[in-house]
Formats: sequence, C-alpha cells, structure tokens
Amino acid sequence: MTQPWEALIEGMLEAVLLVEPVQLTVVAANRAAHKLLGVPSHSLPGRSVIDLAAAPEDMFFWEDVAAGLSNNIYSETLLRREDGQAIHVMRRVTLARLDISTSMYVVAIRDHTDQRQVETELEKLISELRATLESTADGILVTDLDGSIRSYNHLFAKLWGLPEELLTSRNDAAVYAWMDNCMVDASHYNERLAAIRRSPLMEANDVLVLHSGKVLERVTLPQYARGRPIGRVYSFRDISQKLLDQARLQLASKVFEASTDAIFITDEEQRIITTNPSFERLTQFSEVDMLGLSISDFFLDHSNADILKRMLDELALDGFWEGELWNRRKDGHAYLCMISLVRVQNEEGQTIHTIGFFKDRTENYNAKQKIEELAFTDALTGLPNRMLLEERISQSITHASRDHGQFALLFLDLDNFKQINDSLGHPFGDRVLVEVTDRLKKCLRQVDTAARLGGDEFVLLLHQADAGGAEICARRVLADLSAPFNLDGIEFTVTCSIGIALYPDDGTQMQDLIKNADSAMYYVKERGRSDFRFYQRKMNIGLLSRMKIDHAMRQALEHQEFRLHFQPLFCLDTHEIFGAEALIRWHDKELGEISPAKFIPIAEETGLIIAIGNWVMQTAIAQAAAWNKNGQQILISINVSALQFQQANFVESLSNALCDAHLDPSCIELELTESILIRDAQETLKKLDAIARLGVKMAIDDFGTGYSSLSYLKRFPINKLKIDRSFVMNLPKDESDIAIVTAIISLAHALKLQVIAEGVETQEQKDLLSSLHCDQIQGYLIAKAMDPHEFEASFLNGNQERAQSLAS
Amino acid sequence: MTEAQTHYLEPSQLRIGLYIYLDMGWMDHPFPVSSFEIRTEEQLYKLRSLGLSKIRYSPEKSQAESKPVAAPKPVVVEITESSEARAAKQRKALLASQQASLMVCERQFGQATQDFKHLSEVVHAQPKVAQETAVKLVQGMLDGILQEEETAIRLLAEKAGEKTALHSVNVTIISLLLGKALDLPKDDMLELGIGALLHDVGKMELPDRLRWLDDLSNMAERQLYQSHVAHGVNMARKMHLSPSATLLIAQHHEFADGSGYPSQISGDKMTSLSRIISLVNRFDNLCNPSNVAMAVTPHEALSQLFTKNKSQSDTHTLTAFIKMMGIYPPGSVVQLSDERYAMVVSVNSARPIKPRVIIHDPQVPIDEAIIINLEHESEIGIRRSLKPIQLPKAVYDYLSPRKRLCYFFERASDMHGIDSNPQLAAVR
Repeated sequence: MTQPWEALIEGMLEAVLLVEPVQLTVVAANRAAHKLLGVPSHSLPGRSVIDLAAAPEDMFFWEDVAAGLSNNIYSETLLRREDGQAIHVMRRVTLARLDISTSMYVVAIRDHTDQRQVETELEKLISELRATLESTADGILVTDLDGSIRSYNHLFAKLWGLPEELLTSRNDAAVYAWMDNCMVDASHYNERLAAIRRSPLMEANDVLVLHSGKVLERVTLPQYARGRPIGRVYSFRDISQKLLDQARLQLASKVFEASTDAIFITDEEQRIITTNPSFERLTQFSEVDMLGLSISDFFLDHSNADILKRMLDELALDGFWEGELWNRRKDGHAYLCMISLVRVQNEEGQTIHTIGFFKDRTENYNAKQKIEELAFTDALTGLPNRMLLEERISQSITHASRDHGQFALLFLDLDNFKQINDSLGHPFGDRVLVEVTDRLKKCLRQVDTAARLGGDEFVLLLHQADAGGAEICARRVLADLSAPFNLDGIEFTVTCSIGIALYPDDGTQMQDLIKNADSAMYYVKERGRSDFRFYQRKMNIGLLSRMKIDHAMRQALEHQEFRLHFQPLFCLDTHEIFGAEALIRWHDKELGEISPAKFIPIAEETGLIIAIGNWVMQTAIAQAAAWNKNGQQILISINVSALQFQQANFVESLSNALCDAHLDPSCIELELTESILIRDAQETLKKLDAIARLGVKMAIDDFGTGYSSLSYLKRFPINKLKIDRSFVMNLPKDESDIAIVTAIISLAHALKLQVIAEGVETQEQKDLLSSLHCDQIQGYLIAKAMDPHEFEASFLNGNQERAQSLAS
Repeated sequence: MTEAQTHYLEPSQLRIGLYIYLDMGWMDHPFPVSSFEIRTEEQLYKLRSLGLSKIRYSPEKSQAESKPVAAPKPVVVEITESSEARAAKQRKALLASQQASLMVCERQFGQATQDFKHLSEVVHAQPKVAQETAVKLVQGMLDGILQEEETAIRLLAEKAGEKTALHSVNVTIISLLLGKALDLPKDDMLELGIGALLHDVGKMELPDRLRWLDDLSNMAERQLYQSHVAHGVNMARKMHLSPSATLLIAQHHEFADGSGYPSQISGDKMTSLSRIISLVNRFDNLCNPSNVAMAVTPHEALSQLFTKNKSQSDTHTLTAFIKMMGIYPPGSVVQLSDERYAMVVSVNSARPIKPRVIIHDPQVPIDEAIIINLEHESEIGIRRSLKPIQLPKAVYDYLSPRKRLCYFFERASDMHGIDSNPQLAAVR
C-alpha cells in the first residue's frame, strides 16, 4: 500500500509524510522527509507520528486529532532531528479524503532554518542600527516628505525636552508645536522649516537658539531610497558648550597674541611648544629658538639653580608658582623677571600643559631701588625725610612705650628764611640749608635723627631725652646756628625758632607730637623768634584756628567777602561828625563773624596783610570819593600795617588810588602804628614825606602802647595822635590813666598835633576828655562802626542832627 | 445533584448579586474561583465576554432577584437591540475591563521593580532590611498581581524583550504563578517568592563585565560567572533567609538531567521549588536576554524548552507550566493562518493551541476589537508567533492598549510612505 504513495510524493521538494488517520502512524514519507529528520531512508513508515512530534503544539495537535477535535494545522514549529538538533520548520497538516472510506493526513514540512537565520540576522542588524542611532551624539528626527514624523531617538526627545505625553501618543502637530514653543525666534524658525519642506532635495545647516538657552545645530539632509527622496533626516546637536568653548578659545588666542606679558606654553613633558610675540620682544629668543626646550633649559643660570629647583618642585606640588628670578636675554643681558607658572590639567587630572607668564621687572627693580632711596631721604640735604622720620618716631614710640622711656621732638624753623630765598635766590637758599644741615648734625648724638620736612622746616628726634636734654640741645642749636654764615663772600646770620614736644607728656602718637612741637615753634615765632619753647597744651587750639583762618582769609579775599565798616569820628569842638575810621569786617560762612583782632595778626604773619591792606585802601578811598561829592567834606581814616607800608610801591599805589578816585587827598588820613616808625627810620621818613606831599594826613595809632620815641614825633610829618583805648577804658576813675591821657594831649598840642581818643563809651569819659581839651573822640558813645549805607543814612546828606543828639 | 444546578441564564440576563457557576476549567475563565456572587460590572463584562450561551446560577445563594429564563419580555427587548450592536458593546466593555486590569498590573509590576531596585541597593549594608523588603514584596505580589494571573502573564509576555523588563521580578511572578498552578501550600509560596526574587543576588559580587554576559566562551570566565550561585548563598545567610529559600538560590542553575551547576545534581535531588525556579529562570533568560536582539517570543521560549532541552526540566513541572502558559502564552502576538494579526488574551488549558485571541481588524474600532475563541474556529489557527517589534506599530497599539513610548526607533512603525526595503522599514 505504501509504494504508490511514496512514488507520488518522492519527488516533492518539501518533506512530506502521509499519516494513517486512525493509528496515526506514518504510511509514507519522501526522501526530503527522511533527510530533514536526519533518519535513514525508508525508516519512517510505520512510526507513530506522535513520537516524531517534538514541539508541544504538534503533540497537542495530534492529541486533538485523536480526540476528533481537529484535522488541520498550519504553523511554524520546531522539529527535532534524530541527532537531537532542533530546526525551525513550517509545517502544514491537512486531511486528504481519497475516497469515501480512505482518508489520510498529509504532513508537509518546509525547512525554515534559512529563513529564520535571515530573520535573525536581519533583526540583529536592525537592533544594531537602532543601538547606533540611539548611541549617536545627535538627536535624530526622521520625517516623510510631508513632514509627518516617522521616528526620533531618545536624544532628540531629551534635547527638546519633550514631555512624556508627547512620547506615549503619536501627535505630530503637538510635537512640532512644542518645538515651536522652544524657539526664541519662532517665526524665522518656521519660515526656514517651511522652506526646507518645500524643497525635498535641500540640504540645510542652521543654528537654533532655544528659550532654555541651548543652542542647537540642525543639519538636515534628504533621505534617499533608490535614488529618490522619500523623507528627511534632521540631526540636532547641542553646540552650546562648543560655542562657549570656541568663544573662549578665540578670546584666549587674542589674549595670547596681544598680551604684554611674555607667554610660553609647554606640552605635558614641560617642553615648550609655543611662545607669544611678547616673549620674543622680552627675551630676544624667537619661537623657533624655544621649541622643544624645557623650562629649566630656559631659566637655568648659575645664579638661580636653587630657586629654579624650588620653582619646579612647587609647581609639581601646588600646580602654580609665582616669583621673581634673574634670567638672561639672547644677547646675555641679564633681566629680572616676574614669573607665574600654571599647570593645566585635563579632566582626568593629568598635566597637559604648563603655561608660563613673565614680564621684565628690571626697570621696576631699578626704579624701586631709587624710589626707596628717594622715599626716605631728602634729596637736597640727604637727611631723612618725613617718611623716614615717621618710621623713626614710631620706632622710638615702640621702644619708649615698652621701656617706659621718653624722647623729645624738636620742631625747627629758620627765621626769615624766605628773605634769603627772595633776595639771594633759591640756589643760594639751598646752599644755606645744606650748611644749616651740617651744623644741625654736629649738634646731635649719633643715635638722634635730624630730618628735613621741606622748606626750612627741620625736626630733631632726640633719643631718650627728657626736658633737660631737649633744652640743652635746643640751646646748642640756637647757638651754633647763630654763628655767622659766609657764602660767596656774603656774610649773614640765620636764626631759628624751636618748638619742643616731649614723649609721652605731650602726646603718645606721632602726629600729636609733631603737631605739638610745631605749635610750640609757632608760639616762638609769634613772640619774636630765635628762641625755643616747650609745648603747652593751649597752644594747639590757636594753631589749629590759625591755619583755618589763614585759608579762609585767602578765600575771602578771592571772593570779596571782606567788607568795610565805618566808625564816626566826632569833633568835641563843633559837636559834629567830621569823618570815619574804615574798619575791616569779615563774616565767614563757616567760622562766622571773625574779629579783626583775631585775623589781622595772622594775616600779618603770613603776609596776607599786604593784599588785605591794599584792598582796604582801595575800597576806603573809593568810598571816600563817593561821599565827598556834592560839596561834602568827610575824612576817612585808613589803618596801614607795617608790612604794607614797607612795600616799595606803597606810596605809588596810594597816589594811584587817589587819582583814580579823583579824590582830594586831604580827605584821607592814614593811621600808622608806632612799629612802622621805629624800623629803618631813614627809609620811613622818605615815605612819610612823600605821603605828606601828596596831601594825605597821617595819625599815630595806638599811641602810648609801643616803643614810643619822642624824636620821631618831631621828625615825621604827623598830624594827629590817637590815644589807645586801653588808656581811655578806665577813665575817669583811674588817676594814672588820667595823667597819661593828660600828658599825651599836652604833648600833642605842644607839638601842634591833634589828639583823638578811641573807645569812648560813657558820657563821663567824653566829659573828661572834653575838659582835658582832647580834640576828637570815637567810640560806642558816638556810634559803633556801621556799614556804608547806615553811615550814609545817619550822618550824611544833612543827617547830622542825629549825631549831634547822640553826642550831646 | 441539587435543584440549583438546573437554573440557567443567558449572559445578557446576568446582573450584580447573582451567584453563578462556571462549568469550565478555571484556566478557561479569568476568575479566581469557578462559582461566586457577581459583585462588579467588571465581572459582568468578563462573564459576558466568555462567549457562553448560558450560565448556571443559584437562586438561593443570589442576593438579587433573578429573571427567569423564560421571561419573554426582556429577551425580546434584548433581541430588538441588534445583536451586532450588543456584541460590540460587550466587546467594548470587556476590552475596557482588560485595559483597566492591565494598568493595575503594570502599576504593581512597576512598583515591584522599584522595590526590588531599592532592595538591591541596601542588601549589602542592611541585609536584614533587604530580607524584610523581600518578604513584604512577595506578600504584596501574592495579594495583588497573582490575583490577576492571566493579566500578569499577558503583561510579562508583552514586555518580553523590552529593556524595562527586570529579570528577578519576572522570575518571581512566573514562579509564583506556576507554584499556584501546582497548588503549593501557602508557606511554600512565600519561600518560593523570596528565593525567586533573590536567586541572582550573588551576581552583585561579579564584575560588571560578566554580570551581563549570556555567552561565556572562556572557561575561567564561566567559572567566575557560575560563582554567583555561591555568592548568592552567602548573602542569603547574611539575610537569614530560611533554609528552603537559601536552597532555592543554591539550586536555581541545576537541571533535572544533572547538566546544571554548581553541583550537577539531578532532578530528584532538587527541591520541588528549585525545579520551578530552574525552569522559569531559563524561560525568562530566553525571553529577556541581556542582548535584547537575542530575545525570542514567549511561545518560542516554551517551544525550545520543550523541544530542545526537555530533559533539563522536570516533566511534571514543565507540563504544568505549559498548561498554565499555553503554547502561546497570553500577550503573545501571533499571525493567524488567514494572515491576520492577533494577540492571545487567554489560555485554553484543554486545547493549548487554541487560545482566545483579539484580532486586528482595521474595520472595527480599536475599543471594540473582536475577540474570538480559536477553539470554535476549526479553519483558523495560529500560524506563528511574532515579536512585538515585528508588528507595525499601529497594529500593536490596536492589539495591546498598554501605554508605551512611540516614535522611537525601538519599534517598527507603519510602512506608509516608504519602499519595501525591510531593513529601513524595520528601523523606522
């Protein structure tokens, strides 16, 4: 029965088994079947098909068949060959009804191994491709030609920050909208995207800036299949960091080229690989000269082996080194360089470069040396300067405070040194200072310090000296300096004023000590110079305000802040106001109203009195001219200071002022102090005569208080004496004052001089003076000094009545 | 037999409160027991979806008033509604309940994965905490995911070959399902679960390079790799696991024919629990190898275990495993003999090659997809199983409503707009 079936199926390519439906035994099997199962030819017929079934589905199928539940199956399955190897097959079982009584199961099996292998290969390929796409550095988006999204990788989702809901449901529009929203310039982005989509073959490269701050580079290429575009691939790369790095790199390279520092860079073995232009300028070595040299090669010099070793050791340890060392240029010239070495490491901590920066410090070095010298000594005298002095003083303070010791500070100022400078010139003055320095040095012990603060000011620091020691030294200096100088055949004397401050009594701080010694010195100056004086506490206040006032006066002069007030002069004979004394007034914004008694002495000391006096004279004359119009006769008396009077052009400027004002000179009276008259009598007499010739009247101010010499009263062309207020003040009670005033009046009248009394405040004083035949008076009793408007309103233009009523 | 057995209802007449009997093997229906009172809509949907023409019920045990079969009115009403529409409605309800069940399971699965990862982190520093976590995790599974066994299997099958699958959790769930199918006592179930969860704990001692190797050609490397069993036993001691759980770890690479390691003991020397793990471990390693490209479908894994290496497995255990999983485990994507794609949704333990499947039919809305019982379709059979990745994405989404990532290069998508180059198509 088998033979015909076998013949039928023998030639088939598929493995075929014919199975008898009741016993389920193999009836026939072709060659291909034997071969597939790996069994000897003709061995299959007679075997149970269930025994041949290896896979569970086959077993269950044949069980179903046996139970009459099924009669066909067509599926992939596994077949176990005789050698135990399992192979993939496609197997189909059908029931073939041959006639009414005969049917048979036809089992057709096709080897699927090759196909499976191909499939497995393919799958491997795909998964590898997939892994590759997922492992690229780019975010990848693939679309079709319409822009519908085919797929993207995880990095794409990450770069754009796609939220989960966009990852789990397909919604192209939402993905695109999300991308739109990420863009800073969405409209431009969309235009560009539309352009890309319109041109399937376009290859584009764009840079996208996202709101998140990310910068993406987008490269898009058409996706080709069989030579025609089927879609588009976009790859996105995050270039934010790269851009940042590039910008930094460009900057770094600019810095490298332009730096004024010489820079070299080495490789990891400290071999120089590049140098910048400044390097060549400084060292004269070109980049080519340096290539391959080590840091040691470059710096090593017999003088710096030690520091070089330390430098390299510290560099290795700390990663940087900074310091100075001497090196040589190509021409052998030595230079001092300031070097910074920095080790550059990669992320793994390996050294990849060493960068050296250095600059030439030679000039700096030399300049520094010079500066140090200059800084501490006075260029002219070679004495320590203020800086060094301060250092010495602070040392002394340290020592003294530790040992409860003491020391003295002498502030020394040459008297009238300005005159030497002015008359003989500065070079001469400088030589005097050098000579003075020599003398000062001789007065000091080795341990003491003489310093020049500038000008003609010196400070002597006396180590461990008390008041006694300081005094001895001061006297010695005064004595030594007062010995005559002889320079270029010119013989002269120089005196000085010395102020002394003692540590710790007069201050424990350096500034206090210097200031106090200075105050004491001023005190000496004010009191006739050429002397010394210990500091006393109250001096300081005066000094402080003196400096302030001096400054303020200069300001006031510049800003026209001085004013003139006028105090009426009263004639006891006529009971009339016949004139006024011009008195300076000054109201400072900060200091308030300042009394002339306070600022005039300071102005005299500083010489500012000349300018102030001139201003007073000009202003008073102008005022007198204004008032002496329309037939009025008002005498204006003007105070003149000694310094002003001594000016060579004094008479000339007075005359000019009178001319300019078209004023009758007899309307002006100058009040001169006795001190003017004492000095250089000949010169003074000439001036006084000249003034008298102008027609200007003159009075002696404060008569009786100075070194009055009766002879000048006789010789000088004086018109009037003014009795000082100190004699009037106590009238009429003080008998000796009565006697003095009586004597002065008699003397004046005897010399044909008029007499005026100032500071008259009471009726009794007036009555007494009147009875003593004093000619004129001024004072609060008549009127205080007042501003020009008030004076004008009260006493001019027919307002004499008021004055008379006042004075009666 | 009592009178109760004589009462029947049509599926459409079922309602909440009725006490019903299912006259079928429990592997054929999705319920934990075969007779119960209907308490939820979901149960109703599931019952109706079983495709039974009538269902036996007990009026005595029922809370709700039953409608007699003979009552003509409701039947007429039911019939006036087109049977097609009714069927669609039922399908919809069934699919919805399956989807809900899947989501619940997936959540539990995810939670288990998280818990296990946490456990792995602390196992060295705090062995006791790790042990407690393991116990809690297994108990959670016993109370949760195992109650939905078909869904659990389906989920495992669907996830097969996905990167997110976690071997230890997979092995634990399948082992417990198998243990349940084998009617293991409750205590053994716990030990089985703990042993399964921690069976590879010794791998943490291996260098990374070896931990993920599937194919070790080098003898020394192979020995080193195999030492993970000994390491595992050591760690089990540190965690104070029970002897039986420890033995599980010790024997999880032994085979019934003595060809396993480290002791090459034969099946009769292995504990019954070890036989389970040995089998399940091999199964999951086939489905979820470290190299995803090497993964095979659950069906093929089963087939291989049965065909190639039958001798390595204990026959009783293997048979129970196949009965439970079916030839095509739930979740398997298959192509039918009429070329249509389908997904297996439940096992027919009587006829494992004839499971129930959900069929891809673009004409039918996705939420009303047709479910057919292949047992009743003599002309339609399963041609082959496929990896999900081999399916067009739209088809897969249709068949499995599980939420998953799309767009990525991981899964094949529809072929629209591209030529038939299979490489490119698959990449997309």
